[in-house]
Amino acid sequence: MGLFISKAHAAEAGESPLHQFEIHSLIDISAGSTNLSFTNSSLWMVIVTLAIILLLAVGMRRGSMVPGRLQSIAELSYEFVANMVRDNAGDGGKPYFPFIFTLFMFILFANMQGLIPKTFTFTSHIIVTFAMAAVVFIGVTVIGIVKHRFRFLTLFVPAGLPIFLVPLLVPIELISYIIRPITLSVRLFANMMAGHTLLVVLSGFAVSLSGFFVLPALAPLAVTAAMYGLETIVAFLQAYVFAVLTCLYLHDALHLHDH
Amino acid sequence: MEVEAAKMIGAGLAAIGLAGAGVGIGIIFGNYVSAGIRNPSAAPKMFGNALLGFALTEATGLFSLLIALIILFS
Amino acid sequence: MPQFEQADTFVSQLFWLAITFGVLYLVLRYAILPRIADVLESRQDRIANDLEEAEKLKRESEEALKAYEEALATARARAQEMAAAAKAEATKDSERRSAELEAKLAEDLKTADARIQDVRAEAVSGIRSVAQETAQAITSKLIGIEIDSGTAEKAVSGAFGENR
Repeated sequence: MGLFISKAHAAEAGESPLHQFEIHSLIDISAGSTNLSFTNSSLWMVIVTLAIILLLAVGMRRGSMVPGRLQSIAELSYEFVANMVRDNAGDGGKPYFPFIFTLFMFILFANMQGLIPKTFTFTSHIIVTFAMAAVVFIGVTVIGIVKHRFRFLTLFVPAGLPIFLVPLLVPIELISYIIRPITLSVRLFANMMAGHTLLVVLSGFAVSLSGFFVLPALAPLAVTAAMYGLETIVAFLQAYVFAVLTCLYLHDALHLHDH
Repeated sequence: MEVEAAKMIGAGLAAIGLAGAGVGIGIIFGNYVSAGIRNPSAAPKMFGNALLGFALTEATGLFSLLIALIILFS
Repeated sequence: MPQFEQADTFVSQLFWLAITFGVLYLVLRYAILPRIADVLESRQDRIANDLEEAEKLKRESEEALKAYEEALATARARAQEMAAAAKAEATKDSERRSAELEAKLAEDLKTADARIQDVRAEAVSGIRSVAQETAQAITSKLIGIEIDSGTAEKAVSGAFGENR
């Protein structure tokens, strides 16, 4: 039960359920007039980075033939992402595997870590997810242009399209291409934010009910626990979807429309 | 106070958009299950696609939830 | 919403995101992922090697079996050859011996024949002289005439004439 109190606390104190997303500076740093403070968001970024490195490094410390538990985790995650890249990005996706692996692990650990009470979920900040999506978008576009030069523009003309439909469909394709970083980033951000807000609201019900009736207060608590399960799935799913979509965009850039 | 009321109404209206996401997710998993009954051997292979479709559909619903939240809390 | 209201923290978030993500990427890219790939690859190699080894051993055992069977077949063929040779030898030997025996028998037969002939000739000549002497004695006893041996011989040979 103590799990949910921290988030519920905020609701009880009459704060908005969005209080958990507030950023506050831990160490003030500024370069000139720009604010580069080390915030709670930065703290969790560093923790996530160290956690991933630690897990993988400790897991692969011995690199034995018969893997132990941690080594299995490391190898499993490697093969999971490797299969994802091979299946979705097709040939030529191998050089980008480290980036996609990093992206997947970073988002996965950030989402998972965010479910621990009292922590801060930096993937619930649009600027962070947008930055990652923008890197993916720009990177994929540059890869496509470098690889195909002007033929890259045929990406916006579906194969076998009747000529009179071109003026209609090309703008649609163009918009759906340009909107990619926005959908990619908003999907992750909105999922994280909505989930966490929901958790706080639900556990807030439990707290405010427990002031009057103890037993009925268990109902929202049970729902909160179930939501935690769902959020765990969503945390994984969003990392997976982010990585898979990156692979698919990469596939588009590498192979255009010919499969 | 009228602004507050309008905010509430607006947020409620925006949240209606989630109905579409609900329908979409239902269609995805319903079709996944019926396809899996027809051809159980192909079902595990399509599960990843079903999840992908679920995430994409859910995201569109979440956009409207996001709008609702923005209206409510900002 | 803090995500939009705290716009003054955007630069800081981006800055730290770039640092952490960059560090994570570099560490994974150059230290950890190659190590995982190495381990997986070496395991793959090890399994492939083991399979190859097993395949080799199997091939070797099959070869050994083949060689053994070949040796067995050669030995059997040689044994048969030897048996055939021995049989031929024995046959030849027995044939030679039977031929020898036959020759000896034939010779014996011939000698026996010759002796029979001799004996017979001797007997015949004995009979002649006996007949001659008998004829002389009978003649002298019956009619008292002494006939010389020439006449007697003539008469005897006349009597034997047709027989000879």
